[in-house]
Amino acid sequence: MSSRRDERIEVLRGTLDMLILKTLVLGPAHGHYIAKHIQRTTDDLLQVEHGSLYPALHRLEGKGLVSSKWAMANDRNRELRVYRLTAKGKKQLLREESRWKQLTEAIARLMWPADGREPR
Amino acid sequence: MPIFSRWWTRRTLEQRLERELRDHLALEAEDQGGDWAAAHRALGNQTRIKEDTRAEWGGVWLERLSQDVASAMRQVIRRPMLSLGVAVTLGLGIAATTTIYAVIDGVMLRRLPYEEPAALVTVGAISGTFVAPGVQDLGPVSILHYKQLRQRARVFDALVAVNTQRLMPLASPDGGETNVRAHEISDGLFGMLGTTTPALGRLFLPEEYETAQEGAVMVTFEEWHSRYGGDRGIVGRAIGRIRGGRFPAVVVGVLPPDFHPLEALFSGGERPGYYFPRAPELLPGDRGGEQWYVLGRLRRGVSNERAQSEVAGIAADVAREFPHAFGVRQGNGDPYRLGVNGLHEQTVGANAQVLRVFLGAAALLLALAVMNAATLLLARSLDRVKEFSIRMALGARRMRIVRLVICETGMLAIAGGGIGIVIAYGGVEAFVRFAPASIPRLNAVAIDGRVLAITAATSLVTGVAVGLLPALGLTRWGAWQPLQAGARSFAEPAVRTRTMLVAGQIALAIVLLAGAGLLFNSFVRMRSVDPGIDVDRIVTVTIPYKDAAAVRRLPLPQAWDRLLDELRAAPGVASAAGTSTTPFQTPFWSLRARVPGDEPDSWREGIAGYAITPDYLDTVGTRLLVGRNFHRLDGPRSERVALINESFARTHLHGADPLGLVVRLPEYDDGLRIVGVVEDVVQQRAEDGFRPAIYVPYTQYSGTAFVVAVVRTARPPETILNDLRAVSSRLVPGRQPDIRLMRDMLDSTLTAPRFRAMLIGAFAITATMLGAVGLYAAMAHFVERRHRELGIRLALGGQRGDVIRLVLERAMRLLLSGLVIGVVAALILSRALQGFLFGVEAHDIGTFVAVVITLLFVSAIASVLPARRAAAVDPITMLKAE
Repeated sequence: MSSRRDERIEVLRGTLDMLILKTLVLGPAHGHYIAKHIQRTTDDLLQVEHGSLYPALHRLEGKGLVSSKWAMANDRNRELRVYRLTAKGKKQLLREESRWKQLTEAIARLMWPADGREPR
Repeated sequence: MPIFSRWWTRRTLEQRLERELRDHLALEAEDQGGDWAAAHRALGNQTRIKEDTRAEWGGVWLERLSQDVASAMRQVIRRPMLSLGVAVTLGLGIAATTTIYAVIDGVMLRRLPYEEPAALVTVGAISGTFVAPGVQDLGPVSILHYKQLRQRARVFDALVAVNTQRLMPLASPDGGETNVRAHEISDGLFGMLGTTTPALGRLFLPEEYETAQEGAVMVTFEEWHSRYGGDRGIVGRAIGRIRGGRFPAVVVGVLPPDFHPLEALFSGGERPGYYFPRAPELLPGDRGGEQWYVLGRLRRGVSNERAQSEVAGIAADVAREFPHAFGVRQGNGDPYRLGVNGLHEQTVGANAQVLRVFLGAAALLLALAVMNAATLLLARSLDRVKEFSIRMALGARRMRIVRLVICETGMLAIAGGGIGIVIAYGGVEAFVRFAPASIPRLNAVAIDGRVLAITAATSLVTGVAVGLLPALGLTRWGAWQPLQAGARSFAEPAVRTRTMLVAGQIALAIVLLAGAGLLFNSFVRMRSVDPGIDVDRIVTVTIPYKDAAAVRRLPLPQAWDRLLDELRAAPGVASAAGTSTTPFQTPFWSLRARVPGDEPDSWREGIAGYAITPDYLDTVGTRLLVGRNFHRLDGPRSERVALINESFARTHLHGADPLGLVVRLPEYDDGLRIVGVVEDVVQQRAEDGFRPAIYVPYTQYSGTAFVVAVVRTARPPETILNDLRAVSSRLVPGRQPDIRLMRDMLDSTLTAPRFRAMLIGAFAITATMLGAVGLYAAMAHFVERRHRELGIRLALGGQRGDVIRLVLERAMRLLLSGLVIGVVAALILSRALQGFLFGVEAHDIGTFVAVVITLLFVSAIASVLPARRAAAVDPITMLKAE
């Protein structure tokens, strides 16, 4: 486990916001689910520090990108604070996504030039 | 963040976050198979998460501040005596700086209360001395000079003249008359200063300056209040007589407050209460000895230097073109040189230096108060190391704790600022009351918005300074170490900080004590200077004999004889003699001389000249050391003779036998034969030291319009003042008799040095007390923290004396470094006092030894008390207490 742990990448602040929004595209979810989902889908590579999740959620709600209310969670049989993507949040996510894509493509072009071969 | 910024949502937000985190833990624990510890680890530090989340809510800065303030307030209130002590300590330091700053602001920094004051200058005759570095002493000029300046000078927008020597007979309530000071001013003064509206009535009309019939008078605002109680009916009232008593003086208006433009030239003198108009340019140029002070406004863009060179050139031209005109040449035949000073520099004069010294001393006291407060707080903060560690372990960031501590000290400093301002109000009042008259514009000194702003800033900086050391020192170990090891060992570096603070206080106290000691020493020495005359039974009566109807037309010797005879006949008078200048005042006659062996054109400058009657020396008690006194045979037609003083013999004759030598003066074609040597007499102030002087018989001198009668009284001098007044009033009707006790005159020369010594002394005493309190606090805390060790020592058979010695050794170590630093600093800083010292060097060993002994004594008391307490406690109780 320890060697695996070392490869985990701390999620950057701005990136965390985007990952949260992306998770919520699938439907409303509570904090614990969001954290687990990010971890699971990235094959545990992206380590979300649970502690940093809540400041981020509150920040997004403050910006009006998500909304929240107490509701029964689908996966658990109890009432939890459930976050939902707003229209503004959807737009923001699209913007973020395309910017991220540009960025990763630019980096990819630099790292792996046009012939598509792996760099030595 | 519109959603969260409202305060009322705060509670709900807190509850929600709390529940979210709880849910999160529960879900995680479920996933981990019921392992709550693992769930806690996965979530992380909850306090920090909450802090970070709250930070996203907005309005957080304010909330934290109010939390900090509330928490600080609890700390402050929890230990009221300590808090009060710290606030008072800071208050004392802040009061000292506020007081002195208020004085400096009023006297030096504030603009003169006139329009564009930077362009205002004084123009006058250069006396050759300087009132302050770069500010030459300027005297009045003749009417001819004033007229020529007006015609020729191109650098001035305006040029006006003021005659300050007027006295106005004022009707007094008892039906008689008293003479008051009045200034005669030329047209344009008000316009030049931008004084366009009077407080009451009107300003002078242009024609009133030229016509002599109208006795128009303006009253100063201050005089209007003090003498007339602000009576608005004063306008149009005849209050006295004017122009030699020929016309009634009718008040046309009251001047605005703070109208004292001539203060620049009379900072030490009495302020006039009245102004009346005159056109000096219409007066004949050779009229009497009238001397006019000249004020001007420079044209835009003209520098003082340019004005200076133009004025100097005009003076030289006038001397060439009017070689024989009155008032163009000095007594020695040289033409007067004219100079220009900025009105502001001239007003501040010599006071800048002494005020800077005062401010420096106040700043030292404030620094000491800060260190003192930090010491007191540190003692308490040391006990809080654990508390801070726990706070940090619970997730508080270091800055938050530093801020918390500074918040506390800030509140104490603000309280201290409040106390300081209250004390400073009293301080300013006391300063203005006791300050020597040579400090100008004291009426402008007040604690106003500017001063308060500086005080507020000082308080805040003080608060941060006091808090920073304890705060940084106590949080540097982070969360765990103090908790694991026990706070004690981690307090050591802070103890070292406190050692430095106490040493610093001792050092500052020494610097201030040394300064006060040197000034006090100087004052005592000035006072114990043998003035060369008996001051106790001597009264001076100054009579302008040219105004005395009975003798006005007589030559000087006969006039003096007649007047002195009148005084000799008064009851209670043992003897009366005449001189041209009273002691303790600027010599009326300043001369130059050549002694045998000098080149024809090399004059020895700065010699005081006195014309005296033969019985003068006996009357004032000045001893004749060698040769003979003047006698009746030294007449106008006999050989010119002179007495010299010791300083003259020492400085200019270098031990040669003076008797029979001939001294040459520019005034006389043939020289003066020295017939005797008298002891040195203080001329103006003891602090100036003795200066060379020449005495001539009054029968061979004619250069004065006054006689100063020195009267030796047979009874206590106070009892015959009324008789002397009566004689003076009979001789010169309508003149305020000018009668003074020689003792008072001597005392007035000591006002300034006494004030300096008192002020710095008050600072030094405060400093010493604070230093002692600081040392006491440090030692008391040291004893408290070593209770256990001391208890073991006692329990194992240690003697109480050993315990006391242990504590005292500790105190001595604190003291010693402070003493060394303080003495070195004092040796360096005392040079700033050089100009104020008399008879002692800036590094006077006696003073420094006395200072060190005083401090050791006070410190011994401050440290013996805690030591005795340490030794007095029962060791069993001590050990059980742990």
